Amino acid sequence: MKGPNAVTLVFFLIAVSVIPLILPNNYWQSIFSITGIYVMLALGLNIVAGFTGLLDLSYIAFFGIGGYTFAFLCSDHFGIHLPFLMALPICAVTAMISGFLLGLTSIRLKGDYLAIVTLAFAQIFQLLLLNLDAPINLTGGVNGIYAFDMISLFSLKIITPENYSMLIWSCALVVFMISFRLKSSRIGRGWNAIREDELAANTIGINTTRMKLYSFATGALIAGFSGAVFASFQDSVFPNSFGFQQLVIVYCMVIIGGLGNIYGVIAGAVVLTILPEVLREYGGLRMMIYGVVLVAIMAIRPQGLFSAIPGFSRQQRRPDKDETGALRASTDLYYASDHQDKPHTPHDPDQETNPTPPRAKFVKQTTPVLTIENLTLCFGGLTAIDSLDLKLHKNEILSIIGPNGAGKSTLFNVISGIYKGDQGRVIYKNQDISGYKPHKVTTSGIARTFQNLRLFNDLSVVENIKASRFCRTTSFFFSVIFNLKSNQREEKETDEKVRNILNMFGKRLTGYRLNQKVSQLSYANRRRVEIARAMATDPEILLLDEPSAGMNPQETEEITQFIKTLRDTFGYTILVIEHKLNLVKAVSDRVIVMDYGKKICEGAYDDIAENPLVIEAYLGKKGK
Amino acid sequence: MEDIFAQLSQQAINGITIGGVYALIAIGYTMVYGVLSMLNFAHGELYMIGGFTGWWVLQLFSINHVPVMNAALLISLMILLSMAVSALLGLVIERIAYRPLRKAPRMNLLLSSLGVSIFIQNFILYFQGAKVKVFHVSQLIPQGIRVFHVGGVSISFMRIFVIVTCFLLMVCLTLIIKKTNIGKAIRATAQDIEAAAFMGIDTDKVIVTVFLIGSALGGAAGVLVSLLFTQVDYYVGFQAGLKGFTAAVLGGIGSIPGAMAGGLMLGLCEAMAVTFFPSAYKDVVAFLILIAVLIFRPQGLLGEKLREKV
Amino acid sequence: MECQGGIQGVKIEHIMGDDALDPAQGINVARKFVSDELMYGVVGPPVSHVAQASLKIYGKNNLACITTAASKPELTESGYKHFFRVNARNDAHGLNCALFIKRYLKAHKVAVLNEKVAYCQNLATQTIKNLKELGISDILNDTIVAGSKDYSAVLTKVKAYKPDVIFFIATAAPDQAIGVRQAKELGIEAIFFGTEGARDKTDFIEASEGAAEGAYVYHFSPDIYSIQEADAYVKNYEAKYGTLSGFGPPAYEAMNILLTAIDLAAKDGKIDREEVISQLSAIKNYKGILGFPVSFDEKGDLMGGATYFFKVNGQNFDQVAVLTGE
Repeated sequence: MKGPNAVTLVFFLIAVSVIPLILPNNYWQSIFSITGIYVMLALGLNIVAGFTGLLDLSYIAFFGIGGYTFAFLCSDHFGIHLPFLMALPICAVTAMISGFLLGLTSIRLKGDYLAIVTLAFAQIFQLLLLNLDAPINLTGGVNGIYAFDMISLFSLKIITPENYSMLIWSCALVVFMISFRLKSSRIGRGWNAIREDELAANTIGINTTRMKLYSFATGALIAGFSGAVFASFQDSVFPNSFGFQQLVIVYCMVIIGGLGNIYGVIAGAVVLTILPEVLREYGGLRMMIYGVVLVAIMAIRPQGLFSAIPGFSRQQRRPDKDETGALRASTDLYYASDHQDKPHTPHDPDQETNPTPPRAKFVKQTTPVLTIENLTLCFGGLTAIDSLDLKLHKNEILSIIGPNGAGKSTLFNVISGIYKGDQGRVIYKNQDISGYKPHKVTTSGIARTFQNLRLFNDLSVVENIKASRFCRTTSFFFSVIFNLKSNQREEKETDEKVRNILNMFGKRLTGYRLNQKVSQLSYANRRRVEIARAMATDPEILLLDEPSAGMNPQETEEITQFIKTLRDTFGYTILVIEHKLNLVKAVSDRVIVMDYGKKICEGAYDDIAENPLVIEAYLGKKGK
Repeated sequence: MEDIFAQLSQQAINGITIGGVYALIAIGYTMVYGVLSMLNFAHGELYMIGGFTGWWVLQLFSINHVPVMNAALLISLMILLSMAVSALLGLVIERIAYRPLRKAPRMNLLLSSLGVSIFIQNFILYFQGAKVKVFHVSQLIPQGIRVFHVGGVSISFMRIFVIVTCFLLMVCLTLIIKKTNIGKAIRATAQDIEAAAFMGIDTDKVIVTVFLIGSALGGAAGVLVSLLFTQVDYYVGFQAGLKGFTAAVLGGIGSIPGAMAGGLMLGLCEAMAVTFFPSAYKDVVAFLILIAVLIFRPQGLLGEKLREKV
Repeated sequence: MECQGGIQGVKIEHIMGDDALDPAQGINVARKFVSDELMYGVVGPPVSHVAQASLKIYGKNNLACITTAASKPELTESGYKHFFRVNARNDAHGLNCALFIKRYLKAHKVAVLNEKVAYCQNLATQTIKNLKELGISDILNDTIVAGSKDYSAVLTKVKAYKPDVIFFIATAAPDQAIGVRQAKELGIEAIFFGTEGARDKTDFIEASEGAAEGAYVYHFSPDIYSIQEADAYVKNYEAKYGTLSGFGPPAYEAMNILLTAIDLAAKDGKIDREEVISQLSAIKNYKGILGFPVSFDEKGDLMGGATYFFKVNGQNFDQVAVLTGE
């Protein structure tokens, strides 16, 4: 979704300036300001929980860290009186560092455990706030800390409630812009990939541990920032302002708005701050209602309430349904896509009309690029891979076949770094890559697909493939947020590369399909997207795990040609696991047969097809 | 020297009593996690409801705080009804809040259980008020046997009762899990829910049973603690829940013996910590243990390291 | 805990604000009250840490506050003129309690357990300081957590210490009931000395089921049942609401004082908040139900406040001493 345009921004600024003037009294003024604070908080949580899918239950503690740091730096408590503009970043950064440290200890934990650890941290934090007032008075205990210095920004004094609301909403605007910049950047795409499928994100070159840490820290930064502003506004900080109840409220805001949906989250924050004030007589019911809301939304509408309202989400009208909602015939759509724009592609137009294959630019070389030496891997008592040796040569297409459970996919998992062998080595171009983490294997130049498809289901085709460009681009937070020239250039490059790859698939992945969620595609198309995603990491070697699974004979023929083109025209080196032997015969330079983790046979297809060991593995021993 | 020994023994008794309770709560968490791989945030509130049910039963059968029936009978009734009500509530929660989310992403389940927890807590707050409910337990125990002083150590009858009941419940549970068919079905489902379904096990029924048992135990823990400390209020579930979590994770989530061991260990650690540190930091001890276990040994004391199948 | 405000005219309106003993909510309530233009006075906030948090808001807006129980001394030392008390301050109570412990309870070894809230902490500090000055230096000081239902761990520590008196400084009666009960169960022989919150028949004496027998509590107001002037009030209240707690009478007194001041301020046909404050400061020798004349000094404190000590006897509290700081 595109960010807000200039008109929206101007409208927003006018609204924020005018509303304080028409509010009836100071009480509503403060509600207006508190709403701004909550908007910031919700946007920050949206980054951690919405974009990245981390259930961070310590988020409110960073709000507290920001607030208390401000109390330390701008009051008589320790006698430090820093100017506001200096204190604010210190508070935000302190919170960020705390988030970083907490993240370091726990980011590797799986979802539920992360939730508990963060919850425990938040509890400890509150306990510390309550108890660190003896023997030395650090936090003021249950009394909190009060009476802060007045803010003056370059001789502009922030005293009245109106001043404060301007300040707070300006800060909210900044956080809002940052959210948008991040969401549509490589960083946001990386985070979305992690949320959808962390393992797959790793295999397309994203260092998920690091990225999760960044997400955590960014959320903490925003929370700390909001905390400092909040503390100044309240002129006091107490332990109870930073507790579980506030956390629940912020979560409700984000969930009502829809995890990841920026406008929705803002709307959620506004609604949930103002509604309780309007319904004050039902105050006792408030928390009960939040509970019900959480349960109901998760059960009935987990994508949030606001995503259905036009403008709130980018959910486009499904192009495969006409105005009355009936599905259009797929053939209509197929031919309609003929008129979609087709930019210049490296795709050879002769492929379409000319049945004879073009002269291959690349053929199998003799230099090995991937060597597997004496690899053994056991899972408990089961030997999955047994002393396996393998050499893959440059520009070679090598197929691995064998009965189910032979260890073929396990081999891929070892190569791509998901498992580490107990013995033996994996050597890629003279470098020992055994034990490399998956993202490092990918950035070195080996990409893979999965037997059971691990696409980012909630993302569109284009977004899935763009996510792969993460490891080949370098724009970081500063560059992304200020949209520097380097970021703009990389975005353009990414767009182009993705389009080029998609065009290699001919008419299969074009037009309206590009923006469809991959979960809505046919199985065969999903396989194609997975291959496209692997290709987008600019690998030298492709590991394709049963690329033709789920395809009919015609599609299998297509993919067979496609695999050949990948090597012949584009020079990939390919390792293929397959069960369809006609495909294997058509593409392979060599074939390796595995059974019970061992290599039982190796050679050209025709040679191994006659081999009695191979026949026995597939069909069993000949009866006497 | 004798004094230290007496103090430590006294603390040990404190620790074992509360440890047994933590164990009961932890079992509920661990059983649900075993079959559904979800952490049921609302479990603590089932504990709280157990306490309240006990109180209502006590009030129902007492006039002016004097029970109208035999005390042993009344206490048994309190415990049984608390277990029943919590079990029922657990069932309802599973049906309404968790079953629709079986296939949903993890986060949704967790947030939903959070919502249930908040709802129940505030429901009780709204309709019962914030004030504590007092159990007039002296009426239930004959004068002579209320407290025993042995050596330098004092132990009240109620404490003994709680320890024994916790132990009995845990033994019952172990028998059910190890010896009955449903117990076997539960173990199978906990290992691999799909395979269990393929083997003809009605996994829905297993899940319902697990919630029943776990919630019942949580309710029992609630009423036992309320009898022991003579008070219950709407907020006790939250803290108890967190401690129960900690115990379950400490012992190895998914492992029932782990939950028991974890509970006892946690109770003892807390009691010992108070001996040497200001007692306000007692709760910090629990959370620090939690964090340490998760970082250095995430599978807990008795759990197994699981490899994700790719 | 609630506070009330009212308007005087033909009608009086009570508005209740509930701060749930939480300073952040207390601030919210304060903001709401001060922006209500027809609000001229507040009875409350009753607890020190909430009073402290909202002091500035009420002060800046000149909205008079009479607290019934907030005892932290600093509250009337910050220069605001709007804050009044019908109860004595902690420094007075701390001294009196220390005197009581030494003279009446004749203790040599004292265990002081306090919650980590303003009033409890303050009282503990004051009492310990005064105990030391009186020559008692064998003191164990530890903390308790409100609402935790189980004090056996810290009481076990106390048991090993073998004090003569346990000064159990908690806010609410139910917690003190658990404290006294568990102390008995652990076989601790020390005298149990609780705070004003424990002066509650139902929530302390009854709830402890006999364990409280012989325990002491202190309070900032005398035994209401023995004050003649209060008879009518007591009868009316208990007929409607049941047993009176220790906090009831001071609140009643404070409310009446406030209404009197508002009445006086409104006599000339006009009323504003500053007038109410000045009328309150001028209150001298107001005779109400508390059994002693109420006057406010220039800081807003109660002049000549005393601490009253009670012993649990059967189902009742017997007043056994009054100390005024000598």
